[in-house]
Amino acid sequence: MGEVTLHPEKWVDRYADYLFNYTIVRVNDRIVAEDLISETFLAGLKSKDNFKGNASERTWLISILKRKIIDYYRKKNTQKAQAEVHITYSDDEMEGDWLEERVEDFSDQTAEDTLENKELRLAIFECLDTLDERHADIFKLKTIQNYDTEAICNEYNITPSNLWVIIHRARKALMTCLKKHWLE
Amino acid sequence: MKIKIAFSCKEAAHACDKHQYKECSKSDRMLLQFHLVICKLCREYSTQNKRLTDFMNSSAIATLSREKKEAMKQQLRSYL
Repeated sequence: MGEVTLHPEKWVDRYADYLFNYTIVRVNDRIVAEDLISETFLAGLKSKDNFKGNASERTWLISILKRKIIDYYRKKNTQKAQAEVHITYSDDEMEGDWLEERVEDFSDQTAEDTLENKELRLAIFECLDTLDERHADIFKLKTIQNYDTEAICNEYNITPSNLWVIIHRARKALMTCLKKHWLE
Repeated sequence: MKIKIAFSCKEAAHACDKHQYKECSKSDRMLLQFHLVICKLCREYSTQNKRLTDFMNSSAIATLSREKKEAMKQQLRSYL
C-alpha cells in the first residue's frame, strides 16, 4: 500500500519548508516548530502503512502535524494550569491582580502575522511547487535565506551567470503564478 | 576602453534582478534607470520584480536551515 506513493527519503526536501511555515504561525517558536516537524516525519514513517493513498503526501503529513501541534498545546496548557496554582498560593502581596495577567498569554503573539500574510505564504509555496526543484532550492537560498551568490555557486557548482539566469527564470515564473493566484 | 552608455533589455532585466538583492553596482543602476525611462516593457518588469521582492519580505516566509534539514534527513534515514 504505502510503497505506491510515499517517498520518505524525499520528505525533508519536498515538505520541510512548507510544514515549517505552517507550524511557525501556530506555535511562534522556531525551535518548537523544528522539533514538531522532526516528530511529524518520524510519526509518518512509523505509520506509513496506514497511508491509503487517497490524499497527497503533503496533506497526509499536515494531518499528522496538526495532531502534533494540538498535543504540544495540551502539554503546555497542563503546565500553565500548574503555574496558576503556584502563583495563587505564593504571592499574597500581589492579591487583587488578575491571575490571567500572569499566565502565559498566547492571544497576541501572532497578531502581527496577519491572515493576509499567511495566505500569501501559502500562495508563494504553491507557486514554488511549480518550479523545477533545483531552481526552487536555489531561489529560496538566495531570496529567503540570503545566501551569498558565491556560496550558492560553490554549493551547486554553477557560475554566477548560471545563477542569475536561474534566479531570473524563477522570479518570472513566480510573478506570473502569484499574479494568477494571489492578485486576482 | 569603450564606456557603456545604454542597456539592452536583457542587460536591464539582469541589473534589475541583481538590484532586488542589492547586488547591482551604482553605474549599472544608473544605466538601468536610463533604460527604464525609454522602455515600457522593462518598466513593467521592474515594477513586477519589485513587487515580488515586497511580497517575499512582507510574507515573512521562513525556511529551515540547511543544517537542520540535513539533521532531519539523517534522523529519517536511520529509521528507514
